Amino acid sequence: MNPTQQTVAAALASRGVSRRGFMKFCATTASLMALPPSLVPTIAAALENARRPSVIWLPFQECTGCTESLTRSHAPTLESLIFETISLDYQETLLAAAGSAAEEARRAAMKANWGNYLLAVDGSIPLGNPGYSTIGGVSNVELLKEVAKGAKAIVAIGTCAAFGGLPMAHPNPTGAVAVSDIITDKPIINISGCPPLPVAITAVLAQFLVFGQLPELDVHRRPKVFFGQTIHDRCYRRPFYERGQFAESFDDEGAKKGWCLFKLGCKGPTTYNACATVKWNMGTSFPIEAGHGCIGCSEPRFWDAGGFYQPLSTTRWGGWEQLGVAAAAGAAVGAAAALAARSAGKAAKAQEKSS
Amino acid sequence: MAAERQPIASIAVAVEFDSGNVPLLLNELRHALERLLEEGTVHAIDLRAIPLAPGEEERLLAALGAGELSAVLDAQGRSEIRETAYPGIWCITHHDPAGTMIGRCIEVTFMPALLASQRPDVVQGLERLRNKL
Amino acid sequence: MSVLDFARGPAFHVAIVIFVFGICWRLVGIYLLRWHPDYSRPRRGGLIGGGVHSMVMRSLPPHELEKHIVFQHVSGYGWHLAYFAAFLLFGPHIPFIRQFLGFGWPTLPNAWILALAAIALTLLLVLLIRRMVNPVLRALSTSDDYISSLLTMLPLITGIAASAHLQLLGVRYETLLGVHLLTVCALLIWFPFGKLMHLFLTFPARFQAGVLLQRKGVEA
Repeated sequence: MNPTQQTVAAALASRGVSRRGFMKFCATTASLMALPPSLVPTIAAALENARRPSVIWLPFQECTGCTESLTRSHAPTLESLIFETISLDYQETLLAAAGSAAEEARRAAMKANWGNYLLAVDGSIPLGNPGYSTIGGVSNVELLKEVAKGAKAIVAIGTCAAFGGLPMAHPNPTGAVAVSDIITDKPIINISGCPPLPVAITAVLAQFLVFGQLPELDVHRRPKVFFGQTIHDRCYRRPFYERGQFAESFDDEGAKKGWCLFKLGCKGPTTYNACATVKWNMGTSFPIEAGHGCIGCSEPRFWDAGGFYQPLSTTRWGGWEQLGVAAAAGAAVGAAAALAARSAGKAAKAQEKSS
Repeated sequence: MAAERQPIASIAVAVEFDSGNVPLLLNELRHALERLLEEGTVHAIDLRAIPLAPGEEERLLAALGAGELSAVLDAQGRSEIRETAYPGIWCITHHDPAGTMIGRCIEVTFMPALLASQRPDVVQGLERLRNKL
Repeated sequence: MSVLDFARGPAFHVAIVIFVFGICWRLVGIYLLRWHPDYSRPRRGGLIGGGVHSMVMRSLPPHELEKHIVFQHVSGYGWHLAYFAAFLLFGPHIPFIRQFLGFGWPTLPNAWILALAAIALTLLLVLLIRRMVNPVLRALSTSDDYISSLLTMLPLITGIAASAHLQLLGVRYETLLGVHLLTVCALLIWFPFGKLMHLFLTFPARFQAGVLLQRKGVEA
């Protein structure tokens, strides 16, 4: 039977998940999607009837960090359970098949689910020379356009797919672009982050499972659930910022007391992500808690934002040589103006005397 | 002369301080308990959805205490359903098979849904019992 | 390029270059102007002391006129002090200042800064309205006055809005921050060419007047 014919509830039952287990799954999925517990019965009802969606995952110019982020655990977790309820028909890192067999699997899945599969992409797409990144001899841009045609929606996973990421950083040698720069006629959801929080990826898939649609998105097409608040607004060190207590260097008293890292380059105020609440490694910690400022990895062009250790209030002002030249030029113009005024004054005085 | 080895100074990493959430949450639970008695409406607070400062969740649970009833659910990992020292206020904690906590909820209800036997499970169980006899 | 990237990058770069160019032009232009030679002999020594004396005395109003100008006097000093305190004693501004000076200093909690900024903005608005309503002031005012007033207020308004995350008209925080920096750029570009130059000229001018008066033996 085509796995996508099975309902999600049936898929879970076939894995030996009892009704109570299913209810636990619904409760924790609601928590994952930041939905209130009162919606759990709705989620349960939706999952009773939802068909397992087919997902095709294409890796482009990426470091595989996004896949690693998602699959980091060795034991089954909620993330992997959700992962198993989708029908992941193509994913290079996880697929058992290889070579032409893998490509055949992809084409078969596309054909069987045409118009209904979810296309997940990680990595940027090089346009400079398509040969920079290919799969089985097919360039990324060609493959993206081909698979996107039959997709219901596209999930751009990671900052590279969402905004261009590291490959697009100055001077962008491969001509890397984001998915949304190439595909303009399909709904795209960006789950940015370098890597993104695993829960953000699975929550979008869960939303797709439960409601059959994509969640509410912000101006950068990221789910507001995870990208609606800045790190700064949810940071537990915020009271120190408000009190004016900042760490001045990485090993000073302020740093040891856990003070605000603004002066050490933290980009928390302009970074939208859920790291401060959801945290990493199953709720263990996040960069600021570990003592390092946020680098803004879920924002566009974060690699070129002036430097991870340059505070947000600093500017790129050109340097003292340039200001020295400006000062000299100004002084020269001023001197010329003064001289002109003086000689005009002298001429006027001379005229006064003669008349 | 060999240099003296200095011990690595202890670095205070975590900062324990109060965002004031505990009294607010306790008041929310008080209101929910009042509504449960008057109208029978249930209420739930997802603790994962609230950014609690380090140590605050522990303080909240300590404030709620433990009641007379607790149950352990073994489904896709261990889940604990425990009535707090305030009857009607339950603390439900979900773990995955690896033991990692994947959810914690405070429910205000006469009986959490997870405690009751579920109809599909009963149907399946009856089938198995019939096959056995 | 986002608004913030533009503001922190090319915009500020251009603004600071124009600012330095303009300041040097104006100051050199003024100080190289011709002095009329004074052929009389100085009546008193201690010219520098005289200069300092005038600088201080002219910053305080004469006793006879105080009761007529107390509002102007207090509000003028008030908004200047509050404005500079809000700029210089706000923690996140220190890295900006450190770029140029190489050092920073202790700062005040954010709530105090918000209060100081609110006071400065209120006084500025009151004085602007007074300038427009009072017939004498209105007659004396030029476009320079109004432009300088507006460009001085804008960084304050945008700074308060960004700091308080006001999301004016649905504008996101990072854009508000960029706009705040752009208003600072505008202020820097306008600075050398209007009355804001009094920042550099007021005290030297009072000093110079004091030196001349001391020379002449005037008790002032």
